Amino acid sequence: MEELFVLRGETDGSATSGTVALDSDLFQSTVNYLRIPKGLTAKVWFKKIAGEAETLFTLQYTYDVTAASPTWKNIQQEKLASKGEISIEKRRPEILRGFTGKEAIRVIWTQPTAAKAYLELGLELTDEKKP
Amino acid sequence: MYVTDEYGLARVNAFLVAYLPASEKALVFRIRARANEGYERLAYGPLPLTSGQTLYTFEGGTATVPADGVIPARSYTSDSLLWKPPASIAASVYDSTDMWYIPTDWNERLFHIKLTLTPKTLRTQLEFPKGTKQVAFQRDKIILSINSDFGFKYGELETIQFPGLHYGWYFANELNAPLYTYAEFTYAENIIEIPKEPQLIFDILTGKYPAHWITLPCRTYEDKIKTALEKTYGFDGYKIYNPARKEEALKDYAETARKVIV
Repeated sequence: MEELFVLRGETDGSATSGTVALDSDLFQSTVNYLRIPKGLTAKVWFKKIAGEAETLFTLQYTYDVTAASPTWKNIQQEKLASKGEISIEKRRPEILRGFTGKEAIRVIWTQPTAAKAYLELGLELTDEKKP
Repeated sequence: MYVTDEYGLARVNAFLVAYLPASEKALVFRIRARANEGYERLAYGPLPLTSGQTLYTFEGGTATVPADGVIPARSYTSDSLLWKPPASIAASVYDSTDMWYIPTDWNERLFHIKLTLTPKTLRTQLEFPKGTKQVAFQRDKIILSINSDFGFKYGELETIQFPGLHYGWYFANELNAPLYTYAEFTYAENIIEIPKEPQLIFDILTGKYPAHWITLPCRTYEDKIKTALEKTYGFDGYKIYNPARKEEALKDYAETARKVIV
């Protein structure tokens, strides 16, 4: 089983940091994080970033999103140095596993000056165990 | 010899075996023809969830379906569903609540159905017949539901629809996002016959003769199942024998075949 979710999100243009609300054609409403079901693996295949100013997007992962204050660890960072766009495709994807079903990923942003920036994330959920 | 085609459906002139573990019997069908040859795809659309419907959540609460066909975050169907016919055929199908239901006297017809869900992360599980949970662990010690840790399928399911029975379908969404859903069937409306030659039946059921096997989720042999099969086919299946008991098997198959009405 495998399903590719193309997740989209953006900065709000007024704050210099925050959590990206993730959207998809399959989502009826946005989410601030996405849980990884037990036994499934999340593979991040591509990232596309566009923005009006310098922006740092950080992909984070937690082992227990149900905790009162989940501990998030940084997995990957992509920085847009100035106004423009970048596109990153992976031959070997970033692998994030669902061990208990409480794991989750999210994306946060930081900017020196608040501006609009946009993110697209190619995230596959699969029960395939090979990387 | 390939017994299935590019869709994974049993080919014309191939044998299709429906095995029921609870009775340790199998129905053997020869596909005489496929009535919908070339038109196997059925784009059903969103799951038959209705806005306002109440579902259970993995956290132990309830959730309301926010719009037709949308499954709420971390939720599962509290009761099994039937495939309501699409509006375009609803007025004409045999049963307006279940598009796959056909009566027992349509016994020359057999649906071979493959369901594919979008997204494939959706869980599904079958009740056979509707109302009877059939997935269990350690005999009947633990009955597995759609919200259990196992005992479900992700994104797809293959089955045979026997006439005279309604099947119940469960669905679940483990993700924390409410999801738009889509179901697609690849199906064959087969015109079938049941072989009556003991040696051929023995060869098929011992694996010597190729056939496409589908095991129905059937831990408990409900009277409803037995009754429907007997009404439809005149018997409820050929017993599975140890290959070493060939003489006994051939005698039994010859006797059982006399009851067959298809």
